Amino acid sequence: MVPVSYYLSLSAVLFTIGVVGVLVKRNPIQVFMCIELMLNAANLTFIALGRFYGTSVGEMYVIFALAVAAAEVSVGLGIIVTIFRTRQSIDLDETALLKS
Amino acid sequence: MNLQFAQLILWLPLLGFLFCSTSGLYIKDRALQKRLTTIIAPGVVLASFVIALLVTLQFGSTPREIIALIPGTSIYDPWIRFGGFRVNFNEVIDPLSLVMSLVVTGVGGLIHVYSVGYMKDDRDYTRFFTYFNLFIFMMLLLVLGDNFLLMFVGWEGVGVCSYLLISFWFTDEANARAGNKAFIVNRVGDLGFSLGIMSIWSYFGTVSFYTPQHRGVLELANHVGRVLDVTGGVVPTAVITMICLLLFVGAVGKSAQIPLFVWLPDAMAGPTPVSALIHAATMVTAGVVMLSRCSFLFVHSAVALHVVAWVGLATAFMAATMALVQTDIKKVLAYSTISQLGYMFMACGVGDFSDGIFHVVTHAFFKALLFLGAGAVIHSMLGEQDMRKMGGLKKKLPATWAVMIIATYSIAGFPLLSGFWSKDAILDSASRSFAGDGTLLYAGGLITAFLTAFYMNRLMWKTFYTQERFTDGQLHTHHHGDSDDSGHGEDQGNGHVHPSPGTMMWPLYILAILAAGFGWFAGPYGPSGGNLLDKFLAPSIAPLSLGGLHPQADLMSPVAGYLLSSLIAIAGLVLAAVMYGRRMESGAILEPAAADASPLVQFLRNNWGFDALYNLIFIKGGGLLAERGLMRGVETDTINAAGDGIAKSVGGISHLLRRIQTGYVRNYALVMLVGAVTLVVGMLVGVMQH
Amino acid sequence: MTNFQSLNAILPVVIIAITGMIVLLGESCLAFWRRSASASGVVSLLGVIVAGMVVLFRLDEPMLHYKAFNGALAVGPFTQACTLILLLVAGLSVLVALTYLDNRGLNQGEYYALLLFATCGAILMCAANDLIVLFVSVELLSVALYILTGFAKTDKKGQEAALKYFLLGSFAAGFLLYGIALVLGGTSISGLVGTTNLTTMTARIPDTPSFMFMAGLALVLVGIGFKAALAPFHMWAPDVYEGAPTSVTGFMATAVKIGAFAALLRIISHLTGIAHFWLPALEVIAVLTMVLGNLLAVTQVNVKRMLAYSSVAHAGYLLIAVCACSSTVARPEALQAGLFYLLAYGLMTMGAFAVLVYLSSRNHDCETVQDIAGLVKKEPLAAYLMAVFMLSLGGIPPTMGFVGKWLLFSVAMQAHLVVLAVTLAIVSMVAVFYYLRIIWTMCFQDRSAETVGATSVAPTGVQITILISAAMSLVLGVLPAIVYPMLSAAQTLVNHL
Repeated sequence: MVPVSYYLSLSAVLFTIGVVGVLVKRNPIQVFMCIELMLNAANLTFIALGRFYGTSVGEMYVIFALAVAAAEVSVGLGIIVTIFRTRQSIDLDETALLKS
Repeated sequence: MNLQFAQLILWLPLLGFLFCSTSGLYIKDRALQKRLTTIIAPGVVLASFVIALLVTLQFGSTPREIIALIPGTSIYDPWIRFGGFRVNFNEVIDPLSLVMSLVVTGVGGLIHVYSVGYMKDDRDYTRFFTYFNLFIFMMLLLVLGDNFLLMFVGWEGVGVCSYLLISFWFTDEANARAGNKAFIVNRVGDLGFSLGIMSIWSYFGTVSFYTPQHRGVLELANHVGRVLDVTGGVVPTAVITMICLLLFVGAVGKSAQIPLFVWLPDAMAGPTPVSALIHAATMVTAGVVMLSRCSFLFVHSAVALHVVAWVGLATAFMAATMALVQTDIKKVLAYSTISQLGYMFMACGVGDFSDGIFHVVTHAFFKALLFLGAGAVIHSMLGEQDMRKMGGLKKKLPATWAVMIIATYSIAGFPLLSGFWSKDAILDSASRSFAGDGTLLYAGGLITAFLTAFYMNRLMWKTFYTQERFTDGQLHTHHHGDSDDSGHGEDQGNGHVHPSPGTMMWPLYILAILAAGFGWFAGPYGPSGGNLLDKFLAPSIAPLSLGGLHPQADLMSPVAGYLLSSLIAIAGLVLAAVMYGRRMESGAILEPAAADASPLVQFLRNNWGFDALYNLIFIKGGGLLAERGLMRGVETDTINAAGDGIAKSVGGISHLLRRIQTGYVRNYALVMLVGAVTLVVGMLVGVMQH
Repeated sequence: MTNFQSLNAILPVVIIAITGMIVLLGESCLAFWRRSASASGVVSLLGVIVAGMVVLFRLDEPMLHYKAFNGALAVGPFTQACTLILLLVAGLSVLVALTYLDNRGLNQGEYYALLLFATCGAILMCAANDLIVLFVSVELLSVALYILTGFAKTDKKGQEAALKYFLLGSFAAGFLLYGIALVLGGTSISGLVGTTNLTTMTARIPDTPSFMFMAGLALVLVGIGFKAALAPFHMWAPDVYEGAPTSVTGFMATAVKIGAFAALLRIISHLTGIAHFWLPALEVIAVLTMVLGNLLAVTQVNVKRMLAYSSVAHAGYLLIAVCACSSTVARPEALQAGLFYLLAYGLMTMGAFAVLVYLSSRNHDCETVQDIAGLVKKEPLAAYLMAVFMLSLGGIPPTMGFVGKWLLFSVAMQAHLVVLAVTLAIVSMVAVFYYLRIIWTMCFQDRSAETVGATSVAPTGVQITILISAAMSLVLGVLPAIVYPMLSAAQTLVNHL
């Protein structure tokens, strides 16, 4: 059996990749994919821990997280679409009317 | 005796304020609104005075009476109850609060009446009285509150009112700046005061002055040689010293002592009745009132008392020298106020708190009179405040001259007038200072008294006796602080000096009587055995012996003391008269060019270098900080326009920080990430160290 | 507790949620409903009032001291107090929206439904006794708010604000969820199954917690700190507050903060045993938040943005109450002070935004300093009431803000957090400056061409909000004792959680 620490390390790496992605990407959709990566890193941790404890607690948490993430996706895409309709562009660096 | 109706002293001005502030909503007829304001605003304050007088006359032998202010709460049922923190919304009726209430409502009422005439053409007549009534309420809360929190509420409240009233004629940029300066400097004082209150709470476990269970701060301090906290432990002397010094910082800010005095002269930009009420008679004496209220704490700390005495003397002397060279009639009075406040602090510093209050009272009379008189002069001169352009007004304004001469002789300490008795009492106590430095304090006080007599008579000569330095009929309406855009110019401003209306004059007569006679009434040779005020105040004031301190022996017999101070005062007055008598045409001892060239005059005009120091710290420092890149290319907003140093540097930092807020999501996420990483690492390091 | 009892225990949330669904259905299915401009608003208001009544009638019910849903939700006086504050804020927001949506031509029932769902999320945040429930409720609140922020679909600023809020909010949610995962791993000690339930967790934490647990706790703090706009996780706040429709900003500034701080207070109260590990970090954050918020607010010319920074500063003040929870002696008072300040903050902020809404017209949101210059001549009452809110925010007597600040001072002293108390004293001095500047601008500056006047067709809703907020700010400033029974009850419950 693969020790739980392997899964935890993998999820930590995934989380970091997600964070870095958020910082370097300019396209909001890509940024949002990176955020999903962060969420899924957490999900992986839940599953791994659940299996390690031998209970279903991990799977339960993941179902919560997935439901929430799904809701976020729909709202997020909606926002991005309205922005595209008015600006014909979704580049993050072009949207900076609000600052300082 | 039932003193419950003493509540009204506090509530009536609040009612006046509520009426004035809301009358615009339901009274559409402006003339009617103005008439009602004219009756109600001064009326409530005078009614308060009458009640305070009745209460004082009926005040029995009990040292104090505590009254719950909010219906439904009692003195046992706190206003704020919060774990160990309990505060009552009570007022304390005791000699100190009664004396101060009488001064605030009495002098305040007279100044209200005066303002009716003074402000009658102002378009913001009702708004002016709104602030004025609110000020009276806050000041009464300050003197009547039974705990530090209520006192602080009043303390902050009068500060806000003063800020609003200084900037009353906001069209003038100088006024807005003066308001800002007063505001910022007072913040420093308030910070000290609030830290002092916090320390009191954390060491004593209460902030009440007196409580029904005799567990108030002042009662806990009322033990010979030691101060207890609420649980019975002894509070160390070092802590008492710290608390007293923090409170003193608050007093220094409010009462314009060194080094925070710079705001008071600038605050003269407000209307003259404001200067008379707030910046002479009442608010600026709040520091002295607070020190006297806390006398039970101060007598336990010889160090704190010592600091108070010497700061007081230094301020008294320094401000008196600065007053010598002022040319603006209100500025002379402003520096004179600072100087007289210095005397009061010196009195507190040698443990003679009741004579400090005595001087507060007499000073309220003669200084209010001087300001109102000066206001009448300025009013008559269509807003001119520069004494170099006055002269010869004795013929034109005989009544004003008469009341001002009484006030001048009173403040100068001319024998048997009010100022003489209170100042002599302070000098006498100073000479017997417990620390053995009485001779120095006494000498410093005498020199200052000489200077006071000189600069006050200088003011009189420059204004009233020397030859006219203006052409009657060709006066210009000045848009100084003391005129407004709809008023004086139109209906009577055909360029002539004109006497003031009756409502402006009769308050002056009453004040003149008090400025002349009150000192005798309350002084050592007054009715019923003399020293009425001292005896009346005794229950509110701690004796020095409580802290184990004892005054030294007399330097000289009382009669010799009286003779010496009379001599000094008369010498000062005569010297000024002689020097200006020789220069009737110019009205100046030095020619303007010579004055500008004289290093001494320059030194005094620059406030002993304090201006430069403040420039360096607040304006230059702040300005440089602001200009060195922080604000380059940034739009000028209100703060930059206000142009004050502290504000500018805070604004500069603010602009610098605003650059971080780039508007880009990635940057925000980066800052969040850095914060998160720091937080995680910090916590892990914390765990590792265990 | 059976499921039915549990549902009964969170009846206010159920009522609010059902009202939200009714509004959604009514709006989409009933023609007469859609034709009426205010039907959704009125129904929502009724729902909020009914829920509030339920809470009020149950204040003394002993049954509520238990936990619902197997300990996932705590339904006691603390939750009740927070719920009441939140319902008050939600009700006021509905009233504000009645005017604002009409003014801006945005009359759509979804607004109210989303507002109610967000309120559910906020209430559940106050009640959450399990971190995963906290996560779900945070997201319930956030997702609704993302949409509300971009509710004006054609407004570029609104869209930008919505996108920023959404991206950064999800980013923070990622931290929160990962933190919860780490806590789940970190609480597994000597073969026991890890937990995210706060009550179980408290018993589980050793004197020196594991790395995993502390890292998880730190990430959870990041997630909640984002919602509460604590520095350095506050950067979204000014942009989003400025860009969002004013009525949403008012709700966002108050409800989110109340929920986040209630959650923070609850979590931290369960961790007093290891206080010396997290207290220094929170103290640093508190100082940073207070200083940054106040300094940045000083130079703002946009009132909404100024209020955003001021809300950051207030988050710093509130964090003092959280820090004071570290001391078991000061904790009861700290909880009371925190709740009192949340109520005060909610009222005065809502009032200030309501005044801005009152002054907004169809084409122009009242936001900048020029808009309100010399307002006292045009709209004296609005100006005076705005002055009340500014004085209250600045902590000047005789307002609620003053009492609240004093309570925070006193708990800071009681918990020996001298640095925080002194910082609070100093930054308060700075804060008064920019609040008074608004008053100064309204009262002393000459009216400019831009100065706005009220043009609303239906200003009743917002007028009621302004009056209620102002009256409560003043009355509770003079007589804070009125709410003490509620607060002291809240304090006792958390004690034996």
